[in-house]
Amino acid sequence: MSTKQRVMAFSMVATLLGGLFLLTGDAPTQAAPKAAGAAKYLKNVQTGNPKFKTIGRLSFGPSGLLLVADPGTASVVAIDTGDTGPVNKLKKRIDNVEQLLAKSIGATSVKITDLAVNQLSGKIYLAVNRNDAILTIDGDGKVGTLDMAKLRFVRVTLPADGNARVSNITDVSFADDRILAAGQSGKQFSSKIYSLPLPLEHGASANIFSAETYHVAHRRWETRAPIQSFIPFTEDGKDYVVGSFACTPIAKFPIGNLKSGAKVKGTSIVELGSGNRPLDMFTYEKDGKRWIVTNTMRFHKNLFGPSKYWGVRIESSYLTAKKVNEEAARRDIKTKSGPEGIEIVEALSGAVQVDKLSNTEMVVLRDDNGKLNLEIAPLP
Amino acid sequence: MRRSLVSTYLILVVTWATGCNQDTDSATRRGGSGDDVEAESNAVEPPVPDPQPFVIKVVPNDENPRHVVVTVIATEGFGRSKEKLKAAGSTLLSMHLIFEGDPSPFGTEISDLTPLLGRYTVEAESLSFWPTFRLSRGARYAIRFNARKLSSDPLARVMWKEYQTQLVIDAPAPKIETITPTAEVLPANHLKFYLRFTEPMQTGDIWQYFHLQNVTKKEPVPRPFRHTELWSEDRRTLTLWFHPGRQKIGVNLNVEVGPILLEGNEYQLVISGDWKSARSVSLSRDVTKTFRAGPPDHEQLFVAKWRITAPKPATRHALTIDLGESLDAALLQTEIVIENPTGQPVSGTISLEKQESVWTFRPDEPWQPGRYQLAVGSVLEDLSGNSIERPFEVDLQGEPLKPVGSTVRRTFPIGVESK
Repeated sequence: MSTKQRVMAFSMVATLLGGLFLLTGDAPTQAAPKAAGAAKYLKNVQTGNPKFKTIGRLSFGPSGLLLVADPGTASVVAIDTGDTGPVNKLKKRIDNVEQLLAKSIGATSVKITDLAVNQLSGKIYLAVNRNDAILTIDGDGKVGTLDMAKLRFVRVTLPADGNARVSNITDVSFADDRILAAGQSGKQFSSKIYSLPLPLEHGASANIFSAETYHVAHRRWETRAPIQSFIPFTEDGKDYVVGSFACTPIAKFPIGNLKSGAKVKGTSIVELGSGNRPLDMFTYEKDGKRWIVTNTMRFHKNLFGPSKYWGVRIESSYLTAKKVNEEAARRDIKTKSGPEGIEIVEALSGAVQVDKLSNTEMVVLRDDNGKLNLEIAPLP
Repeated sequence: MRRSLVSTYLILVVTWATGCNQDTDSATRRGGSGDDVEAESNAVEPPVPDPQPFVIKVVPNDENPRHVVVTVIATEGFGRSKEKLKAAGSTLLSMHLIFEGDPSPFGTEISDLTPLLGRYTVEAESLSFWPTFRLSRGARYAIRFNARKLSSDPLARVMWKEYQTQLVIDAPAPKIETITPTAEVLPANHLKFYLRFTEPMQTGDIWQYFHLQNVTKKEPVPRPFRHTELWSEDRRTLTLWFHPGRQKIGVNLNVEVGPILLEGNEYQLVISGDWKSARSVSLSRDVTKTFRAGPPDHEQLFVAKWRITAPKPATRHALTIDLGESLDAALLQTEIVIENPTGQPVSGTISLEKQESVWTFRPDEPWQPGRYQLAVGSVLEDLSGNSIERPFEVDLQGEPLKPVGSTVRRTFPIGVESK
């Protein structure tokens, strides 16, 4: 063996050894996002891996601020993604997107558990049924992943209600002066609203309110029905949570100056019809009107299409309606629209997940005979 | 001569470093289809150059063999700078899941394949691909290396290699330790079960593994469960809820779809053996709980009705409380506290007996003579969700509820006369 041959063999061994020592299994794939505008919403920012126990609901705030519910640790994590644009929205529908994700992460199957769109970039963020990944899809349909090892984040724990720890965080959302979350405990199923002041400080705690709602459909006050999805809402300078419930009353809860631990009574403002489970909620504006959009899953046969998933838009004037609770507006379940300002949205037929992209478009994860397609759809 | 030397070194290194991993690692597919039309249409296999200029190796992580690194070693160098090689990483080396039902990826144009996410590193004479996520158990992967990108040599080819991960892991199957309530008769308006597993299970799509059969009518109960996953902090206890909207009288789902349980009928709750643990090991056999639906329960709880059997002082004998009915097993662990005569909580061990209808407490230290108190959280509830605070169903037209506060106290004497 020549000297050259010996050197070559040695170098190969060294290379392999080097590789083996580096083999950690946490190999990141994307450069770390740099500090961006979202920094002003965060305090005591951590850099590194948030070590999610579970990745639940996702939601975007301004400046690329990604909110992630981690029900496994009863906490909310806010990530400064640095993803601040420009907009490059999905150009082409992706059929069977779960298969694409599975192939990208090398898994035989993947289920999408939530979706959020960064309106600044159009990039779609996806929670899937594994706890170490938030996947992304860019305008070209290319799959990526958040580099968990190098995130800038803060984590805030949601307090227990007595002995009842939060087991499920049903939604999380950015309001102007705070972050809001809704949840429930595994033991009692009681409905809670959490308020996290901004700037969000790592290690801080949240205020907790017990939510009680009048359910129009069965004329009862409920403490157990959890808020499935909600939006923050301000009226005359007062802050509210507008939440949707199973069996779909939409109710608003005043949360302005409440002390932690207080009980808050919701006012039912619209009843969308029984036997539905609301999924997502957002608002948009068009021609001077503000609309609330929600998609739901119906237990029985849908009267207006083959899919059990359907959606509706409600004019925001209902949020300030005088007729509430027993007198609250009820959607005419036999027609596609009515009363005025409550309409079924055709583009939400089959929508399993939905999020707002702009005032004219939304991202829809649509059921197609059991397979899910990801696409951009127009808002009415 | 040179080839055999290289192979020897590689085998030695890989074997030593991985502790003889057991994954199937097939040989490089020599002469696998190239990615240009000319190569594919040429039926004559080009001669394999000797020595082989590139060698593909897959090295699993010692601790978790499903984390791997794929390395291409250039026995005669890549002829490119490290920077150029790294920048071209994804066009040179990629890994693809062989998806069941899809055509074979071998020989497929790269534009038709979805590559695994990962990153690239370059060492002296090697290019490595590190998949971001661990590979699936028992899955097959195709590794593609396009040597043609590096050479104008007509003999340069697209190389393919297949890699398969181990299917079986050397670990016991997960089990369901307990299902509570343990009672064989449950109220017709029963609300929830607690399933305790020996280890965390796969989450995210669990409802396919649950089934409720009406044994009396020999038919399945349609959609009985609330599709909300509620796991304990240690991820081992699942709260499985019947849909509350179907268990309340007069609620639309109860009226339109009907109640879940019919009094007098027998039911079987079935948890599929296909459900896998977070480590991807299935329960392996179905787990069932059989019960009969008894009369519905709409009564609020009253601590005053409990029968307390106080132990003797100066002993560590158990205090026993007959609750009169089965209560929520999880809440019984946290919502009853014994306070000593000075109002301090007493430490000890709680056990539940007689189908969670008897609560016992054995103190760590002997009882002292005096007046003790039960401090009971008013959220404590029975199997139908009736709590100390309120019955599950509140009739707005009926008598207004009497407020009870968050804690209800009841005094009991130990070794002294009751007042």
